[in-house]
Amino acid sequence: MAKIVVGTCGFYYTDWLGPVYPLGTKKEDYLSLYSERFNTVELDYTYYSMPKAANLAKMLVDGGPGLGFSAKAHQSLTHKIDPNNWKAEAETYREAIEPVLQAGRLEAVLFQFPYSFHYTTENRRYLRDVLSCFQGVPLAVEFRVADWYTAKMIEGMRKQGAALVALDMPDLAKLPPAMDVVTAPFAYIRLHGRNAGAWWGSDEVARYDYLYNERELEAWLDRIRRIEVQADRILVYFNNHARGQAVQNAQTLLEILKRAGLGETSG
Amino acid sequence: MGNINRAVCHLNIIGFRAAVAAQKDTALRGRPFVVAGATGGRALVLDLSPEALREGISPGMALAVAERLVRDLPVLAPDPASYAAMNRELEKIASVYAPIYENDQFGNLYLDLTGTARLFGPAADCASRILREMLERVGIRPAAAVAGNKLVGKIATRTIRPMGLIQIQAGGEPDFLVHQDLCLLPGMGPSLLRAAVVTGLREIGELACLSDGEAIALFGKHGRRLRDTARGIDDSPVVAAFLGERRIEKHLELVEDALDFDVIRGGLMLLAETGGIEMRGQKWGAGAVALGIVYADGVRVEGQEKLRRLCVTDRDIAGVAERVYLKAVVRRLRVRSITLALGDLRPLGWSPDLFEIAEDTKQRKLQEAADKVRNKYGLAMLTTGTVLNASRRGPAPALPVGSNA
Repeated sequence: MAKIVVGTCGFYYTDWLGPVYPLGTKKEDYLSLYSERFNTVELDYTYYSMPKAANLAKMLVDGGPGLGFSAKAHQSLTHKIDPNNWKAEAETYREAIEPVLQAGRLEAVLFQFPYSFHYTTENRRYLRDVLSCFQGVPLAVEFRVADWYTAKMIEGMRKQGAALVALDMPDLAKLPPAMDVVTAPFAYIRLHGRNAGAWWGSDEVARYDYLYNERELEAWLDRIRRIEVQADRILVYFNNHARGQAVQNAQTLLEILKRAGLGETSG
Repeated sequence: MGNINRAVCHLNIIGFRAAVAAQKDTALRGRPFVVAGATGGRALVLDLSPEALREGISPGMALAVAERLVRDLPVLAPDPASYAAMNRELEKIASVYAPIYENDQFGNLYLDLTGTARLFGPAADCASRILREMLERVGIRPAAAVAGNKLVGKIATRTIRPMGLIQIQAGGEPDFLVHQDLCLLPGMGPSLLRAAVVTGLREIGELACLSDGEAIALFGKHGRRLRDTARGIDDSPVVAAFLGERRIEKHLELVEDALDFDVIRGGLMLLAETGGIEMRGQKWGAGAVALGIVYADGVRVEGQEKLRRLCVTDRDIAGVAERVYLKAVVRRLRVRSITLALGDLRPLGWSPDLFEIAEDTKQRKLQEAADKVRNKYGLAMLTTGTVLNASRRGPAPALPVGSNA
């Protein structure tokens, strides 16, 4: 049976004060409070600023021994790629995550590419090269545009042992298809909400401002059940973080999974 | 392109025969093995396990070659009874969710989920549930795709195979198809692929961009159809028919009771022509040919032959019918009437090189031309020498009457 862990994309949101963390909670206590609810977290600050090994080592302590970490790759590796410098950035990032990797608590490094990152020869070559800089690290890749979803790419992911992220997002043309294909020993699922009206031309908060209802989450039960047969471990992260909705949905999904007696759920 | 209101779910069980074998015999799971049968005197690999595929074996490969690639390769004989039983189980599950479904019996099921959202939720969720049931109830893991039509669904399952689920949003077809390999396109067999490679086409999107003139110049008269396929255009409905229910019957009452085999042969050809044109009109092929023969004394005998390969042309049908006749008729007595039944009808589907069939090209082209003339001017306008010869030997047999059971 696969182990299924559920968490959120990020934990450090000021608008979670109240809905998630008690009012008056100090910022340095966010992570330990988070780890009381969930066994995994996807770090998103590692996208905005290059992580440092010392900070991540401290988070290992703050999160307690039961918390696993996924980390979003830095923007210099996904959104703002400098052809002359990305290898150095990759090396810096690789060194920073070493403490988490050594502690056996690194779930995956997530490469989330932007909508502008299309299926071109140049980008395919870059993807191959950047992933190869992270040998020995569990990797997950998320594309935001449909043209990447080819048989060749899926085969490439399988060869690389990288997980192709299964997405839940609005049903809009040009966006990636809903797809569950296991390409690595673990599966990586991200739920972005289904706010179709705010997906284009709004800010990040509005785009992900969505609360899944129980029926929508129950539909994921069948999907997870099938994925479970092929993967050793399933990571599920909610990105609809506005006002703590991600936490609410993650907890509901955990309850659904527990009710179904599915795998060795934790959280 | 997919109709925005349609939701077709394609379930594709890769290596259906091997999957059924592995489901029956757990010792085969995780091992390379093949299902092989004799075709034209040579043993060929009909199906194989994913592990055998990884060892370099492929369907259609000579068994001797496969056995050289993998030492002590388990070789299984085809097991039609188990395939039929599995198909019944799969259909049971499909019928719960889809009011209309189509099954080609070799691991391809198309379910029309249009309008079922209020009952079963969004089509992708419904497909997910169907997959789970198939896994839990019969241990089969298909690749599944939800799309606006059968064609895009088929390409999508080929993209993610051997298993998984994908949904192509309405309007998202061009982006999904644009960079797919041409070999994923139904109808692109080896000879068309060779032609495409010579002209520098490698991706479906490149073919989709061709103008009418370019498509015809490169691929001949079928070029436009092929180009439209690359654009994901497919209006074909999910045909509601179930195992064993498709059948075309044609009955021939001989004007005079006959014993002369040339007359009988002419009658069989006439039956093949009338049944064949109707069958091909519905884009079906026959997996079985049966005859009901009534002697002059009223005694009836029957015979049937099941076929490994779909029978499509009049010549093929008549050939099988003759074999069946010679086996069934043992009394030396005149024959009064013959009924030909084309059974086990299955969609011709997208065979390799659908648009320019390399194999039997001459026969098929001849058949297409004959059908065209008959459809335009009537069936009696064109017939074969066999029928004419029969009519010279006796009173011309009346055109058969048909009844579809």
